[in-house]
Amino acid sequence: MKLSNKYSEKTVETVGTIQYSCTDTISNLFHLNDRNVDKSIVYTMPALSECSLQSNAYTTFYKKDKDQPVLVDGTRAFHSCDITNMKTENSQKYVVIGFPDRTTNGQLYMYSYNEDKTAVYNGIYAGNIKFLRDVPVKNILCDCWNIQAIDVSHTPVNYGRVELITLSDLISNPDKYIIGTFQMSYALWGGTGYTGICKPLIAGMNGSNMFFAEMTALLNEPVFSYNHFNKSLSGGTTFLINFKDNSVYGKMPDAHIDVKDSDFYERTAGTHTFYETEESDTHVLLKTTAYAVQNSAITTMSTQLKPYMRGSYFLKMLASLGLYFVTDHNVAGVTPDNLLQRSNIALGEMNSSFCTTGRFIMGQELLRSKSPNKDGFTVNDEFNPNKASKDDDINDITLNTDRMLSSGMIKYYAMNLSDLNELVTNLNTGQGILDFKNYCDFVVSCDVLPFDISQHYLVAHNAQCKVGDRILGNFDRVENILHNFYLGSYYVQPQHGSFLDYEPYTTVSVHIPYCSDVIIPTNLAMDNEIKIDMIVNVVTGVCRGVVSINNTVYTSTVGNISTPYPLSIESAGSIRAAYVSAITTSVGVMAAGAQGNFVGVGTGLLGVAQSLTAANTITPKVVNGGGDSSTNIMLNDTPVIYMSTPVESLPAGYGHTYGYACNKSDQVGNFSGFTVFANVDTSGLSCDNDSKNRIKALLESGVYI
Amino acid sequence: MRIDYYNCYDDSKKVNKSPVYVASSTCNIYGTCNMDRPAFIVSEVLGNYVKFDGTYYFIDNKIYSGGKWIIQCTIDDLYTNAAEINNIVATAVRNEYTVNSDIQDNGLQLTVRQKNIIKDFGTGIPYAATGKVFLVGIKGE
Repeated sequence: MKLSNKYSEKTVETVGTIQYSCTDTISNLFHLNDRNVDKSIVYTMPALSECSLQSNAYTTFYKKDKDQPVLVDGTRAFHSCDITNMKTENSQKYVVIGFPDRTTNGQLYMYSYNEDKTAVYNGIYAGNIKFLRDVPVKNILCDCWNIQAIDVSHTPVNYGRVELITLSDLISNPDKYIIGTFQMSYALWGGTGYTGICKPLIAGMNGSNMFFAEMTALLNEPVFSYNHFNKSLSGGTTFLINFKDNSVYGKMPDAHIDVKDSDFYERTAGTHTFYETEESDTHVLLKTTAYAVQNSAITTMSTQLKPYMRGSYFLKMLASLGLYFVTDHNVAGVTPDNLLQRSNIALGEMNSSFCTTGRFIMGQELLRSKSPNKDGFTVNDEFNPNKASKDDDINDITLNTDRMLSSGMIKYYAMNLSDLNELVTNLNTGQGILDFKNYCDFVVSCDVLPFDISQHYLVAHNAQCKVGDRILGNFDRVENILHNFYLGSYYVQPQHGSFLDYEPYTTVSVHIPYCSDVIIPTNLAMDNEIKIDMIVNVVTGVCRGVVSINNTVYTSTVGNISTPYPLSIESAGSIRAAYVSAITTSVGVMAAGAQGNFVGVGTGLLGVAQSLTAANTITPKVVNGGGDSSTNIMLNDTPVIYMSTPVESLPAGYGHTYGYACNKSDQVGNFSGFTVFANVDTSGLSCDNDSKNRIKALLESGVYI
Repeated sequence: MRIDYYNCYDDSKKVNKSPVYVASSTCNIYGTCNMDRPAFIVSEVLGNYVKFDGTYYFIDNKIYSGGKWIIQCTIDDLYTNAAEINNIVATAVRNEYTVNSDIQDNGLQLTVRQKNIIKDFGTGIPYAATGKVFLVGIKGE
């Protein structure tokens, strides 16, 4: 796993008058969280033995750095787990621990440290969930769950309308709930008002939590770009909601932000556009780094700002932690083998050390949620491994085109229908000293684009448009040519978690609107994030769809996004039919103009263009886009990914009778189950030659270890 | 000579079997035989798996003749040499539990059907049918 350099050291970023600081906590956070090292987990036998001593249990397997154990409550015992299975590999014992049905003190971890290391909190703040994530706790058999959830049909206001649901409920209806807090427990959560609600109800058990966390805590990580030492947010302070960059999962949570009194506003816009609706949440989350929460709405974080996760994301998040979910509370006799059957955990979920990867838990819907983010966190380290920033992001491309436009003899104006009407009216009325000239000759082009030009390009609002002595009106004069539209990103989930996700079995292509389809090699696309940008030259109408993978430009394709509007009545007849209805309504206006002074403009236009070309480096656009751009507007405006992947037929017992492709060298005794070896060297055996040959043949044809 | 009887229900191709000891009795080797496939004369057959002279054998056949049993056996090379076999360092190309999913598994059967996934990116061009969607080029000041 690659860590962002941005968070590897103390940084301070000033936006306006507000200073956001980033601590160095993140580097410590990730010290042990290298998921590339499966065995970093490691509930080793010595660790468990020490835990059983009920003294400083957690320091045994969690040290934030080499020298500094985490501040923990040393009296907390780690006595409530059972070892359900174990395996020795390279002289290291790995164990699977389970939590049996016990009546008291079931917590694995209840006390935690505060993120700034200054205090200990009782199961509320970030510690618990951080614990799960920082030390990739794996092989925990979670036999009973309570999840506080809110039906999405309700308005999430603090804890109003909280329901306690089981994991099974959530899995069955992941989109029905949003999650504010969750807890894994043996039985009841002892909180007031929740007695007896636990499902499944286990008679005689006292409330005890194994894990408890509020989503607030998860989102308010110390990687936050605000100073969490001032978490109380004293007057005048604004802090930044920055899920995407901060989420260690590499992907922003699909969170629902309950800002009861609103006050999400666009950080860099200057004007405060507030968002209050469900749609606004989506909008905010699409550009998470751009928004802030106004402090005035936040009395205290615990009451006014409540982040909620959608159920589906919540499940992904938990899956990524690498837990075994056992929804049946009776875990007696649980072994990895029957876990596979009982928990729908794919076999590939476990590696030889019994560690889960979080990739396959509960089927395809819960494929791990980790994906690359803009800071170079990349799941697929084989690709773009050294990318540490978004410095070469497409958005960093800048061109000084202002001068080109302002110095040219042709000015471009962004107009709406009303503006066009005004232009036509002014072209057709009045007389001036240039009456010998048809004023319409000065209109060299008119194009339609599928977006509001003034909203996306730099414009001089209400600039005077003057031809000769005649003022044609005040319109938005376009001041720059290029704009990059972010068309979206898509994380390509492996569908099989195996070689089947790659060519020739699986193919991936992306359709870029107004451009063409782009075939993306699956070894680049799979488990990575495809991002599509579109650079549009508003003057020429040329659009370039840029395909980036993990924020590195992979390829691009050119199309045309603007549609030439007819300047003569002759061309109007042939092109009109291609326009969408909304645009067609304006045709009458221009046609009316064409019946007047507009007639004949088309024939003289080329000459004007030629003369202007000679006088200026800008080539006036006579026609652009062709027929495609006018029809493309009827198509989808979003990129579309097409992925075709095979359907495999995996019979029951495939691994037991045939084995999975493995290719691993080790001592024979360190394997288990059905195994086929290759080219076994039996020279070390002390038996006779016939026996050696038979043993060799057996090992190479498949044996059970 | 003595022979040890076991009950062993593991697959014959299992290296680390778990035979359960039953009893021991006297025996004689029947005729001249290869000790990879010996036959023993015993008074009774007390298991399905035997150990003789430090070697484990599967009992293949039992023949009753003249008040005695003749048991025809086949050596169990795997269990007899299990300790040494377990120490061999070898490359497993297939295994029941250890999966390298990146390796092309030619044994996997694929159906002729393909699963097709078509998803839009959800963002796209900020479409506007109205507003300032017209770009007009005018030669002028």
